[in-house]
Amino acid sequence: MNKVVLVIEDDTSMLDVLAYKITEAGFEVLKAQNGQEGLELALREQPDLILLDLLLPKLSGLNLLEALRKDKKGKQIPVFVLTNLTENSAIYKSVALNSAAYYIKSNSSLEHIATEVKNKLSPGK
Amino acid sequence: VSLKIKLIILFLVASFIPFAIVGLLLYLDNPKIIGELVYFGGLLIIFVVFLGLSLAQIVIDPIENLIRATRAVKDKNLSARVPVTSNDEIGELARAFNQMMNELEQTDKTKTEFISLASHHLRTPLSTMSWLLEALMASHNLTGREANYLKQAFGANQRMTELVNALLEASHLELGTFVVKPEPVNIPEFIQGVLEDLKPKMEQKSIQIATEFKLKKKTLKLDQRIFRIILQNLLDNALSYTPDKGHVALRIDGQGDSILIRVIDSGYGIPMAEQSQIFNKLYRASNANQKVPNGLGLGLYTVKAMIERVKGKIWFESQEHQGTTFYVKLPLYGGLKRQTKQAKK
Repeated sequence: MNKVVLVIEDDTSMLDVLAYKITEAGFEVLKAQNGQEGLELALREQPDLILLDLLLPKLSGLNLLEALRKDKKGKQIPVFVLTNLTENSAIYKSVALNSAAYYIKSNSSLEHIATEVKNKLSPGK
Repeated sequence: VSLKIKLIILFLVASFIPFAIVGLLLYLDNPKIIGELVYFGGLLIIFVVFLGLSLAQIVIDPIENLIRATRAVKDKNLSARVPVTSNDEIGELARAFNQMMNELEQTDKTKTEFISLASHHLRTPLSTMSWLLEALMASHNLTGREANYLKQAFGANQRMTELVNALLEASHLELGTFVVKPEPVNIPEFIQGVLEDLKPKMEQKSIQIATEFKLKKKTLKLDQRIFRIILQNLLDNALSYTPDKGHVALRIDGQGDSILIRVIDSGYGIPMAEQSQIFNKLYRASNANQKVPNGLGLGLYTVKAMIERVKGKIWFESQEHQGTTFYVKLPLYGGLKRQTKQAKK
């Protein structure tokens, strides 16, 4: 069975192209366009990995991450933060909430992110 | 002479003149009372000194607090406030100082928030475009012309991202919202990472950057971001302004509490007449403009401002058509000289 990646991103174009790239890499993709929806999906579907934007409507990425880490199962899900926020405070908070990686969108290629997702979910392949 | 002593002398003079006059009149009237006069004179001196000291304390303590707070502000501590201990003019001064600091702190916060928001808002559409172009470029059924156009659009977008980053770094520095954070850095590994980013350019110019380190310890404490920006800018410039198949070298020597970085190239050099201007914002040397027309003139300006921020120095030697060597003396510990450690002890 294919591993599942949940992409939480409010920008439609970004969400679309990320989902396309990750599907192409051989994973199943779930999409959410706001924090509230993302959290619900994460808790219900228990994806193998979450790609999380930080500036989100309804519930911010950091608040979502905090709520996710309070859940028994949600605690285990690896999260890649994917944002254009570059200030240290956001990075420190994400690290403190046990995110697996922090990518600045404008400095990361789509290919790089897809490779990192592959490395995380199917290492050695 | 401190204010305290001045006040006591003033009090002594003011109280002793009437005492001496009255004393002299009494003495002339009845010379036998000289003993009592001396006794009362002594008492008066003790009383006046005591009174002067306590009055001076009331005036001087708040002033000393203000001096301390002002110095803290000078060292960029905008949370400095003074206690308001009275309702007189001095209390009013303290209150006014605190109000001014509240305003300053608020302005500073607004500036920082503005930069962070602007940087986010500028980067977001650029990264969307970059990803969409990347996805399109990976498509297999493109004609040569389409692939070429996409590649150019992607390249232009990358340049725009770099410009936005450079502008934001520069405004961070100008607004004073750039925070220096020294951390342990493994120098050779760090340089490897920087060179990795420059690889496409090295290949394009057929130049391999030679490196040489003379360090007692490989891991040193400095601000990674500043270190990276210095190296990226100087090495990128060296590559840009050196003809294909030329030479570029990076040397780093440890010198006690600082390191000396040398970036040596066999490039076009900087014309003598323009050498004094190259660190100016938006300035580009005439020959640089010819060789690389789309530069912004922010690189060296930003590098110099950052180096000065950590109390370092940058200078260069250059000869046209022969090459340029940039020197950077970069203090370790972000220019703070381990003082935090010592202060704790």
